Amino acid sequence: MTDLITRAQIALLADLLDADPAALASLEHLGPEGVRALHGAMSDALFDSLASVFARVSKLAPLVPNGVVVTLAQKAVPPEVAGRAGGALGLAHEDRAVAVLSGMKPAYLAVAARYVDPRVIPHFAPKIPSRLLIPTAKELLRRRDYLTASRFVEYATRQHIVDFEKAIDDDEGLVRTAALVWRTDILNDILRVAGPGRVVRMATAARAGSPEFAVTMLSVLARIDPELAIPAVEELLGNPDTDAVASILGVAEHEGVLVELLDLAALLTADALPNLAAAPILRDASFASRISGAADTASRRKSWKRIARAIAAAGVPATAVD
Amino acid sequence: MSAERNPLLAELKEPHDVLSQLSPEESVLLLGMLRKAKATHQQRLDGSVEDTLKVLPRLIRPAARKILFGK
Repeated sequence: MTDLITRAQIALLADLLDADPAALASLEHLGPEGVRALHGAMSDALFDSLASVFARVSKLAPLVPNGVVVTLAQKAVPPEVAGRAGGALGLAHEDRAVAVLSGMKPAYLAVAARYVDPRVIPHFAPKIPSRLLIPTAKELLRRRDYLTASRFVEYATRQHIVDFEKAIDDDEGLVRTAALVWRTDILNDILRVAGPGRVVRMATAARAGSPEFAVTMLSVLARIDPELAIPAVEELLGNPDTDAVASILGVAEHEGVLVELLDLAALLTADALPNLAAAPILRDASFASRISGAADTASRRKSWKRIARAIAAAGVPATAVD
Repeated sequence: MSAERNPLLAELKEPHDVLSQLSPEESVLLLGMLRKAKATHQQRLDGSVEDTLKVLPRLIRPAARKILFGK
């Protein structure tokens, strides 16, 4: 799912530059790491160019108590500007940052969060208490701003994740945020703390949700450790409701993720595999040949052969297996 | 690659390996966007500072103005 991550990095860059992501689409050739590095360099250059103004504004701090900062900011400063300045001001007056954030409305913070200097997120995100983050996180998900949510989730503490898991019901929002988390090791940690029960619940919601939700769930499962993914993969691909499994297969083909699907199918237990093999869509020889054609590595060819054997065992003719 | 062909590389220098992969068109486009964003962000920040001054409690306004603008 490199494309999803690359597109997300391009969207971040477009946000930074107030540009249309379509105008930057050609940058895909740099790959996700390249676009991320480019974003980092341009973001640093932009924020550094504003540093002298931030420093002057920061000197006002002794004159203005926290309550006045909260009122004035929300009255006179657009959240976008507050987000850009917030990092530098927060770093300069760290002892006051939580108190000021506590007074601000989640709707204001959710917009401001999008514009925060990426360099300060690792410093601040772990220090902000969950009670303060949860209303803003809910607002971000309500706005479907999964990209901003993912930038902060990446630096969440274990306690944050435990608290978010309890407080946030929006499974689709969580999955779409998780899919954009840059570091796979962190994605694993987050979902491990959220627990296998919640990951299965997300998969159940994805099965009933839009094709986009389903394919995003597949992309998350393809990135995480197998033992964490297996129960959710069984829910999606090894489910006794074979029409629902067929629908996931159809979505995977339509969205161009048959490769990931083969990787995930390889995780199915022997008990769950027949349910995948019984999906009516696999009786369509042309579909079966397309999924077989997607098997571009030895392990994916092995995964397909295993499925094909299960189809044959069920007495349903499948496409030729070599 | 010359500054003309890759002006963003000439401006930012790093990360060299990534910037040097940009086409001349991409480099020109990105540098233009960066310059425009710098100007816009500066303008919006200055505007917000002015707006904040207007709503600051009257008593501290002169001191704040002095801190911000030295006058």
